[in-house]
Amino acid sequence: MQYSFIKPRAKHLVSPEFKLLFFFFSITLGMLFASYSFLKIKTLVYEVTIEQKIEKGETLKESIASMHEEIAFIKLQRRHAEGIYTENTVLKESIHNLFDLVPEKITLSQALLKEDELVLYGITPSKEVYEFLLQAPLRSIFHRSYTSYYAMPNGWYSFVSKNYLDRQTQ
Amino acid sequence: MKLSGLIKNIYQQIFIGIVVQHSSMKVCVQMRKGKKLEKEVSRHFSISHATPSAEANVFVKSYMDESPFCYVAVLNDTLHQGAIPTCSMHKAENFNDLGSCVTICNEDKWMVYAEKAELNALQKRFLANGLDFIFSPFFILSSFFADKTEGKTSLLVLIQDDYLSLCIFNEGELLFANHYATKDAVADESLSADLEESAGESLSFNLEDDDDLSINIEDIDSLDELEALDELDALDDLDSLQDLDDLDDLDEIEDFEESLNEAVEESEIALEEAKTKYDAKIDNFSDDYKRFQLIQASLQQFYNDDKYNNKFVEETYIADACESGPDLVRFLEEELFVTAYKRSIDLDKELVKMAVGEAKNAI
Repeated sequence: MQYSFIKPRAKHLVSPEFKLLFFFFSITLGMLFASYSFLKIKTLVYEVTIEQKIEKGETLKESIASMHEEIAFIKLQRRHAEGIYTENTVLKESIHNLFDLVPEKITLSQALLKEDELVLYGITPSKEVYEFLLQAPLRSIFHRSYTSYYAMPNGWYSFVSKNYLDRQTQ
Repeated sequence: MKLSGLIKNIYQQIFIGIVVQHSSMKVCVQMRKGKKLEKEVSRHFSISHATPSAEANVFVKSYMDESPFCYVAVLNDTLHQGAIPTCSMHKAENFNDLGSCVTICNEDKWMVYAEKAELNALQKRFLANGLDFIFSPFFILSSFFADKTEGKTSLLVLIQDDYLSLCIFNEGELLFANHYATKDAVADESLSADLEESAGESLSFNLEDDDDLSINIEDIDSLDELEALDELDALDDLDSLQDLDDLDDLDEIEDFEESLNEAVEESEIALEEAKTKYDAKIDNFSDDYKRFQLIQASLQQFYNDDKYNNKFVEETYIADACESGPDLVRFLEEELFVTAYKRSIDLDKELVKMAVGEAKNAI
Protein backbone atom coordinates (compact mmCIF):
# COMPACT_ATOMS: atom_id res chain seq x y z
CA MET A 1 0.00 0.00 0.00
CA GLN A 2 1.16 3.51 -0.74
CA TYR A 3 1.65 5.83 2.21
CA SER A 4 3.60 8.61 0.53
CA PHE A 5 2.10 11.69 -1.11
CA ILE A 6 4.72 11.51 -3.87
CA LYS A 7 6.26 8.70 -5.85
CA PRO A 8 9.97 8.01 -5.36
CA ARG A 9 12.32 9.20 -8.05
CA ALA A 10 13.58 6.56 -10.45
CA LYS A 11 16.87 5.15 -9.24
CA HIS A 12 19.65 4.80 -11.75
CA LEU A 13 22.67 2.57 -11.28
CA VAL A 14 24.80 4.91 -13.32
CA SER A 15 24.85 8.69 -13.55
CA PRO A 16 23.54 10.52 -16.65
CA GLU A 17 27.11 11.73 -17.40
CA PHE A 18 28.36 8.14 -17.40
CA LYS A 19 25.41 7.13 -19.57
CA LEU A 20 26.30 9.86 -22.10
CA LEU A 21 29.95 8.82 -22.06
CA PHE A 22 29.00 5.18 -22.42
CA PHE A 23 26.62 6.07 -25.28
CA PHE A 24 29.32 7.89 -27.22
CA PHE A 25 31.90 5.18 -26.57
CA SER A 26 29.36 2.60 -27.70
CA ILE A 27 28.68 4.59 -30.87
CA THR A 28 32.43 4.88 -31.58
CA LEU A 29 33.05 1.21 -30.86
CA GLY A 30 30.01 0.28 -32.92
CA MET A 31 31.26 2.30 -35.87
CA LEU A 32 34.73 0.79 -35.55
CA PHE A 33 33.28 -2.68 -35.39
CA ALA A 34 30.97 -1.97 -38.33
CA SER A 35 33.89 -0.67 -40.42
CA TYR A 36 36.01 -3.66 -39.46
CA SER A 37 33.16 -6.04 -40.29
CA PHE A 38 32.52 -4.28 -43.61
CA LEU A 39 36.18 -4.52 -44.61
CA LYS A 40 36.39 -8.12 -43.43
CA ILE A 41 33.31 -9.10 -45.42
CA LYS A 42 34.55 -7.24 -48.49
CA THR A 43 37.93 -9.00 -48.21
CA LEU A 44 36.17 -12.36 -47.92
CA VAL A 45 33.99 -11.55 -50.94
CA TYR A 46 37.09 -10.53 -52.92
CA GLU A 47 38.89 -13.70 -51.90
CA VAL A 48 35.93 -15.81 -52.99
CA THR A 49 35.72 -13.90 -56.29
CA ILE A 50 39.46 -14.34 -56.89
CA GLU A 51 39.16 -18.07 -56.20
CA GLN A 52 36.22 -18.30 -58.60
CA LYS A 53 38.18 -16.41 -61.28
CA ILE A 54 41.21 -18.67 -60.81
CA GLU A 55 38.97 -21.75 -61.09
CA LYS A 56 37.34 -20.30 -64.18
CA GLY A 57 40.84 -19.63 -65.67
CA GLU A 58 41.86 -23.19 -64.96
CA THR A 59 38.65 -24.47 -66.59
CA LEU A 60 39.22 -22.26 -69.59
CA LYS A 61 42.82 -23.48 -69.85
CA GLU A 62 41.60 -27.07 -69.73
CA SER A 63 38.94 -26.39 -72.37
CA ILE A 64 41.56 -24.64 -74.56
CA ALA A 65 43.80 -27.71 -74.26
CA SER A 66 40.93 -30.03 -75.18
CA MET A 67 40.04 -27.74 -78.06
CA HIS A 68 43.66 -27.89 -79.27
CA GLU A 69 43.45 -31.68 -79.10
CA GLU A 70 40.18 -31.60 -81.03
CA ILE A 71 41.70 -29.26 -83.59
CA ALA A 72 44.67 -31.60 -83.99
CA PHE A 73 42.31 -34.59 -84.36
CA ILE A 74 40.18 -32.72 -86.90
CA LYS A 75 43.32 -31.73 -88.80
CA LEU A 76 44.36 -35.38 -88.81
CA GLN A 77 40.93 -36.43 -89.99
CA ARG A 78 41.09 -33.73 -92.67
CA ARG A 79 44.45 -34.95 -93.84
CA HIS A 80 43.10 -38.49 -93.80
CA ALA A 81 40.03 -37.38 -95.76
CA GLU A 82 42.21 -35.48 -98.18
CA GLY A 83 44.31 -38.63 -98.63
CA ILE A 84 41.23 -40.70 -99.27
CA TYR A 85 39.89 -38.08 -101.63
CA THR A 86 43.19 -37.96 -103.47
CA GLU A 87 43.32 -41.74 -103.63
CA ASN A 88 39.73 -41.83 -104.84
CA THR A 89 40.51 -39.20 -107.43
CA VAL A 90 43.53 -41.16 -108.52
CA LEU A 91 41.43 -44.34 -108.58
CA LYS A 92 38.73 -42.59 -110.49
CA GLU A 93 41.30 -41.31 -112.93
CA SER A 94 42.80 -44.81 -113.16
CA ILE A 95 39.39 -46.38 -113.88
CA HIS A 96 38.64 -43.62 -116.31
CA ASN A 97 41.98 -44.21 -117.99
CA LEU A 98 41.35 -47.94 -117.88
CA PHE A 99 38.04 -47.63 -119.60
CA ASP A 100 39.64 -45.23 -122.07
CA LEU A 101 42.16 -47.98 -122.78
CA VAL A 102 39.49 -50.50 -123.72
CA PRO A 103 38.80 -50.31 -127.43
CA GLU A 104 35.31 -50.39 -128.83
CA LYS A 105 35.70 -53.93 -130.26
CA ILE A 106 36.42 -55.49 -126.92
CA THR A 107 33.66 -55.78 -124.37
CA LEU A 108 34.49 -55.99 -120.64
CA SER A 109 32.15 -58.07 -118.55
CA GLN A 110 33.93 -57.67 -115.21
CA ALA A 111 36.85 -55.73 -113.88
CA LEU A 112 38.46 -56.33 -110.46
CA LEU A 113 40.66 -53.48 -109.39
CA LYS A 114 42.88 -54.18 -106.40
CA GLU A 115 45.79 -52.27 -104.95
CA ASP A 116 48.50 -53.85 -107.09
CA GLU A 117 46.39 -56.00 -109.28
CA LEU A 118 43.89 -55.58 -112.13
CA VAL A 119 41.76 -58.54 -113.33
CA LEU A 120 39.68 -58.03 -116.43
CA TYR A 121 36.99 -60.38 -117.80
CA GLY A 122 35.61 -59.78 -121.22
CA ILE A 123 34.94 -60.82 -124.84
CA THR A 124 37.17 -60.11 -127.76
CA PRO A 125 36.54 -60.95 -131.45
CA SER A 126 39.99 -62.35 -131.74
CA LYS A 127 43.14 -62.80 -129.77
CA GLU A 128 44.99 -60.41 -132.01
CA VAL A 129 42.54 -57.59 -131.49
CA TYR A 130 43.02 -58.08 -127.75
CA GLU A 131 46.78 -58.30 -127.91
CA PHE A 132 47.16 -55.26 -130.12
CA LEU A 133 44.53 -53.02 -128.82
CA LEU A 134 44.48 -53.85 -125.07
CA GLN A 135 47.41 -56.07 -124.18
CA ALA A 136 50.02 -53.58 -125.35
CA PRO A 137 48.83 -50.57 -123.21
CA LEU A 138 48.31 -52.85 -120.18
CA ARG A 139 51.86 -54.08 -120.41
CA SER A 140 53.13 -50.55 -120.48
CA ILE A 141 51.34 -49.85 -117.23
CA PHE A 142 51.75 -53.13 -115.26
CA HIS A 143 54.94 -55.02 -114.60
CA ARG A 144 53.46 -58.42 -115.24
CA SER A 145 50.47 -59.35 -117.36
CA TYR A 146 48.89 -62.75 -118.00
CA THR A 147 45.99 -63.48 -120.28
CA SER A 148 43.91 -66.64 -120.75
CA TYR A 149 41.44 -67.12 -123.64
CA TYR A 150 38.46 -69.32 -123.94
CA ALA A 151 36.93 -69.93 -127.31
CA MET A 152 33.25 -69.14 -127.58
CA PRO A 153 30.86 -70.94 -129.92
CA ASN A 154 30.38 -67.89 -132.09
CA GLY A 155 34.10 -67.78 -132.76
CA TRP A 156 34.84 -64.97 -130.28
CA TYR A 157 37.00 -65.42 -127.29
CA SER A 158 36.31 -64.90 -123.71
CA PHE A 159 39.37 -63.72 -121.84
CA VAL A 160 40.72 -63.25 -118.37
CA SER A 161 43.58 -60.81 -118.05
CA LYS A 162 45.56 -60.61 -114.80
CA ASN A 163 47.93 -57.65 -114.40
CA TYR A 164 50.28 -57.01 -111.49
CA LEU A 165 52.31 -54.09 -110.27
CA ASP A 166 55.44 -55.04 -108.42
CA ARG A 167 56.13 -52.93 -105.33
CA GLN A 168 59.33 -51.14 -105.57
CA THR A 169 61.42 -51.57 -102.48
CA GLN A 170 64.01 -48.96 -101.71
CA MET B 1 13.57 -13.18 -7.13
CA LYS B 2 13.02 -10.21 -9.38
CA LEU B 3 16.04 -8.52 -10.95
CA SER B 4 15.29 -5.31 -9.10
CA GLY B 5 15.32 -7.20 -5.79
CA LEU B 6 18.63 -8.84 -6.68
CA ILE B 7 20.19 -5.50 -7.56
CA LYS B 8 18.87 -3.99 -4.33
CA ASN B 9 20.47 -6.82 -2.34
CA ILE B 10 23.81 -6.27 -4.05
CA TYR B 11 23.78 -2.50 -3.57
CA GLN B 12 23.62 -0.75 -0.25
CA GLN B 13 20.30 1.01 0.27
CA ILE B 14 20.32 4.30 2.13
CA PHE B 15 17.23 5.66 3.82
CA ILE B 16 17.19 9.22 5.08
CA GLY B 17 14.36 10.35 7.34
CA ILE B 18 13.99 14.09 7.84
CA VAL B 19 11.77 15.83 10.36
CA VAL B 20 11.61 19.58 9.93
CA GLN B 21 10.54 22.09 12.54
CA HIS B 22 10.59 25.83 12.11
CA SER B 23 14.08 26.27 13.55
CA SER B 24 15.46 22.75 13.74
CA MET B 25 15.81 19.70 11.60
CA LYS B 26 16.43 16.11 12.64
CA VAL B 27 17.96 13.66 10.19
CA CYS B 28 18.26 9.91 10.59
CA VAL B 29 20.31 7.94 8.07
CA GLN B 30 20.09 4.15 7.87
CA MET B 31 22.33 2.13 5.59
CA ARG B 32 20.89 -1.26 4.74
CA LYS B 33 22.04 -4.17 2.68
CA GLY B 34 19.18 -6.52 1.98
CA LYS B 35 17.33 -6.70 5.28
CA LYS B 36 20.41 -6.06 7.38
CA LEU B 37 20.91 -2.68 9.01
CA GLU B 38 24.59 -1.84 8.59
CA LYS B 39 24.82 1.66 10.02
CA GLU B 40 22.62 4.29 11.58
CA VAL B 41 23.45 7.96 12.02
CA SER B 42 21.32 10.70 13.55
CA ARG B 43 22.05 14.42 13.39
CA HIS B 44 20.33 17.55 14.57
CA PHE B 45 20.67 20.83 12.64
CA SER B 46 19.64 24.37 13.46
CA ILE B 47 17.82 25.94 10.55
CA SER B 48 15.63 28.95 9.88
CA HIS B 49 12.19 29.23 8.26
CA ALA B 50 11.87 25.43 8.08
CA THR B 51 14.32 25.38 5.18
CA PRO B 52 17.32 23.05 5.33
CA SER B 53 20.61 24.83 5.91
CA ALA B 54 23.59 24.41 3.60
CA GLU B 55 25.25 22.26 6.29
CA ALA B 56 22.22 19.96 6.44
CA ASN B 57 22.09 19.70 2.68
CA VAL B 58 25.79 18.81 2.55
CA PHE B 59 25.24 16.17 5.24
CA VAL B 60 22.33 14.57 3.36
CA LYS B 61 24.15 14.84 0.03
CA SER B 62 27.23 13.08 1.46
CA TYR B 63 25.10 9.99 2.16
CA MET B 64 23.12 10.24 -1.06
CA ASP B 65 26.35 9.98 -3.03
CA GLU B 66 27.22 6.67 -1.42
CA SER B 67 24.60 4.58 -3.23
CA PRO B 68 22.33 4.94 -6.23
CA PHE B 69 19.52 3.48 -4.11
CA CYS B 70 19.03 6.35 -1.71
CA TYR B 71 15.56 7.32 -0.51
CA VAL B 72 14.83 10.61 1.23
CA ALA B 73 11.67 10.71 3.29
CA VAL B 74 10.27 13.75 5.00
CA LEU B 75 7.37 14.25 7.38
CA ASN B 76 4.71 16.49 5.91
CA ASP B 77 4.86 19.72 7.91
CA THR B 78 2.35 21.66 5.85
CA LEU B 79 -0.53 23.34 7.62
CA HIS B 80 -3.39 22.32 5.39
CA GLN B 81 -3.40 18.61 5.89
CA GLY B 82 -5.47 16.14 7.78
CA ALA B 83 -7.41 12.90 7.69
CA ILE B 84 -11.02 12.14 6.87
CA PRO B 85 -13.04 9.11 8.06
CA THR B 86 -14.03 8.03 4.55
CA CYS B 87 -12.43 7.13 1.25
CA SER B 88 -15.36 8.35 -0.81
CA MET B 89 -14.65 11.72 -2.39
CA HIS B 90 -18.37 12.40 -2.41
CA LYS B 91 -18.71 11.88 1.36
CA ALA B 92 -15.41 13.69 1.94
CA GLU B 93 -17.04 16.94 0.76
CA ASN B 94 -18.87 17.07 4.10
CA PHE B 95 -15.58 17.31 5.95
CA ASN B 96 -13.31 19.40 3.75
CA ASP B 97 -12.89 20.76 0.24
CA LEU B 98 -10.36 18.40 -1.32
CA GLY B 99 -10.37 19.99 -4.78
CA SER B 100 -6.77 21.13 -4.51
CA CYS B 101 -5.55 18.28 -2.32
CA VAL B 102 -3.64 15.06 -2.81
CA THR B 103 -5.35 12.16 -1.04
CA ILE B 104 -4.22 8.68 -0.01
CA CYS B 105 -6.79 6.12 1.01
CA ASN B 106 -5.93 3.66 3.78
CA GLU B 107 -7.51 0.20 3.55
CA ASP B 108 -10.64 1.74 2.01
CA LYS B 109 -11.59 3.06 5.48
CA TRP B 110 -10.10 6.50 5.86
CA MET B 111 -7.83 8.83 3.98
CA VAL B 112 -5.21 11.46 4.55
CA TYR B 113 -4.97 14.62 2.48
CA ALA B 114 -2.58 17.49 1.94
CA GLU B 115 -2.72 20.66 -0.12
CA LYS B 116 -1.04 20.12 -3.49
CA ALA B 117 0.51 23.60 -3.60
CA GLU B 118 1.97 23.17 -0.12
CA LEU B 119 3.42 19.79 -1.05
CA ASN B 120 5.05 21.45 -4.05
CA ALA B 121 6.42 24.17 -1.78
CA LEU B 122 7.77 21.49 0.56
CA GLN B 123 9.49 19.79 -2.35
CA LYS B 124 10.94 23.15 -3.40
CA ARG B 125 12.43 23.61 0.07
CA PHE B 126 14.27 20.31 -0.44
CA LEU B 127 15.14 20.99 -4.06
CA ALA B 128 18.88 20.74 -3.34
CA ASN B 129 18.70 17.00 -2.68
CA GLY B 130 15.17 16.15 -3.74
CA LEU B 131 12.58 13.99 -1.99
CA ASP B 132 11.32 10.47 -2.55
CA PHE B 133 8.61 10.20 0.07
CA ILE B 134 6.41 12.64 1.95
CA PHE B 135 4.57 10.93 4.77
CA SER B 136 1.55 12.15 6.63
CA PRO B 137 1.89 12.36 10.44
CA PHE B 138 -1.44 10.50 10.68
CA PHE B 139 0.03 7.40 9.04
CA ILE B 140 2.95 7.63 11.47
CA LEU B 141 0.52 7.91 14.38
CA SER B 142 -1.69 5.03 13.26
CA SER B 143 1.29 2.73 12.69
CA PHE B 144 3.03 3.78 15.95
CA PHE B 145 -0.11 3.08 17.97
CA ALA B 146 -1.33 0.25 15.70
CA ASP B 147 -2.23 -1.88 18.75
CA LYS B 148 -4.34 0.92 20.24
CA THR B 149 -6.49 1.78 17.24
CA GLU B 150 -8.38 -1.51 17.20
CA GLY B 151 -9.89 -1.24 20.69
CA LYS B 152 -12.12 1.31 22.40
CA THR B 153 -12.31 4.96 21.43
CA SER B 154 -8.81 6.38 21.75
CA LEU B 155 -7.32 9.76 21.11
CA LEU B 156 -3.86 9.56 19.50
CA VAL B 157 -1.70 12.65 19.69
CA LEU B 158 1.63 13.32 18.01
CA ILE B 159 3.56 16.12 19.62
CA GLN B 160 6.37 17.84 17.80
CA ASP B 161 8.21 21.04 18.71
CA ASP B 162 6.12 23.11 16.31
CA TYR B 163 3.22 20.87 15.36
CA LEU B 164 0.51 18.80 16.90
CA SER B 165 -1.44 16.09 15.07
CA LEU B 166 -4.30 14.24 16.67
CA CYS B 167 -6.77 11.63 15.58
CA ILE B 168 -9.49 9.58 17.22
CA PHE B 169 -9.87 5.90 16.43
CA ASN B 170 -12.57 3.46 17.43
CA GLU B 171 -12.25 -0.23 16.59
CA GLY B 172 -9.93 0.43 13.68
CA GLU B 173 -12.10 3.20 12.24
CA LEU B 174 -10.90 6.79 12.14
CA LEU B 175 -13.50 9.14 13.60
CA PHE B 176 -11.74 12.47 13.69
CA ALA B 177 -8.37 14.03 12.87
CA ASN B 178 -6.73 17.42 12.96
CA HIS B 179 -3.32 18.97 12.49
CA TYR B 180 -2.06 22.18 14.10
CA ALA B 181 1.02 24.36 14.16
CA THR B 182 1.82 25.27 17.74
CA LYS B 183 4.50 27.93 17.44
CA ASP B 184 5.38 31.34 16.01
CA ALA B 185 3.18 33.52 13.86
CA VAL B 186 2.04 30.52 11.89
CA ALA B 187 1.03 28.84 15.10
CA ASP B 188 -0.95 31.82 16.28
CA GLU B 189 -2.89 31.97 13.03
CA SER B 190 -3.65 28.29 13.18
CA LEU B 191 -4.66 28.47 16.79
CA SER B 192 -7.06 31.37 16.24
CA ALA B 193 -8.52 29.67 13.16
CA ASP B 194 -9.05 26.39 14.91
CA LEU B 195 -10.41 27.90 18.04
CA GLU B 196 -12.82 30.07 16.10
CA GLU B 197 -15.37 27.32 15.73
CA SER B 198 -15.34 26.53 19.41
CA ALA B 199 -15.20 30.16 20.45
CA GLY B 200 -18.84 30.11 21.41
CA GLU B 201 -18.25 27.16 23.60
CA SER B 202 -16.94 27.88 27.06
CA LEU B 203 -13.30 27.04 27.33
CA SER B 204 -13.22 27.07 31.07
CA PHE B 205 -9.48 26.65 30.97
CA ASN B 206 -7.98 30.11 31.20
CA LEU B 207 -4.38 30.99 31.83
CA GLU B 208 -5.09 33.90 34.19
CA ASP B 209 -7.91 32.27 36.13
CA ASP B 210 -6.59 28.82 36.50
CA ASP B 211 -5.22 27.87 39.84
CA ASP B 212 -3.23 25.06 38.37
CA LEU B 213 -0.97 27.52 36.73
CA SER B 214 -0.18 29.28 39.96
CA ILE B 215 0.47 25.95 41.57
CA ASN B 216 2.81 25.03 38.81
CA ILE B 217 4.65 28.24 38.92
CA GLU B 218 5.05 27.75 42.63
CA ASP B 219 6.33 24.30 41.95
CA ILE B 220 8.94 25.59 39.64
CA ASP B 221 12.13 25.62 41.59
CA SER B 222 14.15 27.13 38.88
CA LEU B 223 14.47 30.28 40.84
CA ASP B 224 16.10 28.29 43.57
CA GLU B 225 18.60 27.20 41.03
CA LEU B 226 19.73 30.74 40.68
CA GLU B 227 22.43 29.85 43.14
CA ALA B 228 24.77 30.90 40.45
CA LEU B 229 23.73 34.39 41.29
CA ASP B 230 25.29 33.89 44.66
CA GLU B 231 28.53 34.04 42.86
CA LEU B 232 27.81 37.69 42.52
CA ASP B 233 28.77 37.82 46.15
CA ALA B 234 32.19 37.39 44.85
CA LEU B 235 31.93 41.04 44.12
CA ASP B 236 31.74 41.62 47.85
CA ASP B 237 35.24 40.38 47.96
CA LEU B 238 36.10 43.46 46.11
CA ASP B 239 35.72 45.25 49.43
CA SER B 240 39.13 44.03 50.10
CA LEU B 241 40.16 46.35 47.41
CA GLN B 242 39.14 49.32 49.53
CA ASP B 243 42.68 50.13 49.96
CA LEU B 244 42.86 51.16 46.34
CA ASP B 245 44.38 54.35 47.48
CA ASP B 246 47.35 52.30 48.46
CA LEU B 247 47.94 51.36 44.88
CA ASP B 248 50.61 53.58 43.78
CA ASP B 249 51.84 52.11 40.55
CA LEU B 250 49.92 51.77 37.23
CA ASP B 251 50.51 48.00 36.85
CA GLU B 252 48.61 47.22 39.95
CA ILE B 253 45.70 49.34 38.76
CA GLU B 254 45.59 47.49 35.44
CA ASP B 255 45.62 44.11 37.21
CA PHE B 256 42.76 45.27 39.33
CA GLU B 257 40.75 46.30 36.26
CA GLU B 258 41.30 42.95 34.59
CA SER B 259 40.23 40.95 37.62
CA LEU B 260 37.21 43.19 38.01
CA ASN B 261 36.16 42.64 34.39
CA GLU B 262 36.60 38.88 34.68
CA ALA B 263 34.45 38.77 37.79
CA VAL B 264 31.71 40.79 36.09
CA GLU B 265 31.78 38.55 32.99
CA GLU B 266 31.56 35.38 35.07
CA SER B 267 28.62 36.81 36.94
CA GLU B 268 26.84 37.73 33.70
CA ILE B 269 27.33 34.22 32.30
CA ALA B 270 25.98 32.64 35.48
CA LEU B 271 22.98 34.94 35.36
CA GLU B 272 22.33 34.10 31.70
CA GLU B 273 22.50 30.35 32.36
CA ALA B 274 20.09 30.58 35.24
CA LYS B 275 17.72 32.68 33.15
CA THR B 276 17.84 30.18 30.28
CA LYS B 277 16.99 27.32 32.65
CA TYR B 278 14.11 29.23 34.05
CA ASP B 279 12.84 30.27 30.61
CA ALA B 280 13.02 26.68 29.37
CA LYS B 281 10.90 25.51 32.23
CA ILE B 282 8.37 28.26 31.66
CA ASP B 283 8.37 27.63 27.89
CA ASN B 284 7.79 23.93 28.45
CA PHE B 285 4.83 24.63 30.64
CA SER B 286 3.51 27.18 28.19
CA ASP B 287 3.87 24.74 25.27
CA ASP B 288 2.11 21.96 27.16
CA TYR B 289 -0.69 24.31 28.01
CA LYS B 290 -1.05 25.41 24.39
CA ARG B 291 -1.17 21.77 23.32
CA PHE B 292 -3.75 21.00 25.95
CA GLN B 293 -5.87 23.89 24.68
CA LEU B 294 -5.67 22.57 21.14
CA ILE B 295 -6.61 19.06 22.21
CA GLN B 296 -9.48 20.39 24.28
CA ALA B 297 -10.74 22.51 21.38
CA SER B 298 -10.50 19.55 19.03
CA LEU B 299 -12.46 17.35 21.40
CA GLN B 300 -15.11 20.08 21.72
CA GLN B 301 -15.34 20.13 17.94
CA PHE B 302 -15.51 16.33 17.79
CA TYR B 303 -18.25 16.10 20.44
CA ASN B 304 -20.35 18.99 19.16
CA ASP B 305 -20.23 18.51 15.39
CA ASP B 306 -22.85 16.06 14.12
CA LYS B 307 -20.89 15.09 11.04
CA TYR B 308 -18.51 13.10 13.22
CA ASN B 309 -19.58 9.79 14.63
CA ASN B 310 -18.77 11.08 18.09
CA LYS B 311 -18.12 8.74 20.97
CA PHE B 312 -16.64 9.40 24.38
CA VAL B 313 -12.88 9.30 24.30
CA GLU B 314 -11.70 7.01 27.06
CA GLU B 315 -7.98 6.89 26.51
CA THR B 316 -5.39 9.21 25.15
CA TYR B 317 -2.06 8.05 23.77
CA ILE B 318 0.59 10.69 23.23
CA ALA B 319 3.55 10.10 20.95
CA ASP B 320 6.07 12.59 22.23
CA ALA B 321 8.74 13.63 19.73
CA CYS B 322 9.96 16.72 21.59
CA GLU B 323 10.57 15.62 25.17
CA SER B 324 7.67 17.62 26.55
CA GLY B 325 7.02 17.93 30.26
CA PRO B 326 4.58 15.92 32.40
CA ASP B 327 2.03 18.74 32.47
CA LEU B 328 0.11 17.76 29.38
CA VAL B 329 -0.72 14.29 30.72
CA ARG B 330 -1.77 15.87 34.01
CA PHE B 331 -3.94 18.48 32.29
CA LEU B 332 -5.65 15.83 30.21
CA GLU B 333 -6.32 13.54 33.15
CA GLU B 334 -7.52 16.28 35.48
CA GLU B 335 -9.47 18.43 33.05
CA LEU B 336 -10.79 16.00 30.48
CA PHE B 337 -11.06 12.90 32.69
CA VAL B 338 -9.33 10.61 30.25
CA THR B 339 -6.54 8.18 30.94
CA ALA B 340 -3.45 9.52 29.24
CA TYR B 341 -0.30 7.62 28.34
CA LYS B 342 2.80 9.14 26.88
CA ARG B 343 5.39 7.31 24.82
CA SER B 344 8.52 8.82 23.26
CA ILE B 345 8.81 8.55 19.51
CA ASP B 346 11.83 9.00 17.24
CA LEU B 347 10.00 10.50 14.31
CA ASP B 348 13.01 10.37 12.03
CA LYS B 349 13.41 6.63 12.68
CA GLU B 350 9.69 6.03 12.16
CA LEU B 351 9.97 7.87 8.84
CA VAL B 352 12.86 5.64 7.83
CA LYS B 353 10.82 2.58 8.83
CA MET B 354 7.97 3.70 6.58
CA ALA B 355 10.39 4.54 3.77
CA VAL B 356 11.85 1.02 3.97
CA GLY B 357 8.34 -0.40 3.54
CA GLU B 358 7.56 1.92 0.65
CA ALA B 359 10.88 1.34 -1.12
CA LYS B 360 10.13 -2.38 -1.38
CA ASN B 361 7.76 -1.55 -4.22
CA ALA B 362 10.06 0.91 -5.91
CA ILE B 363 13.34 0.68 -7.86
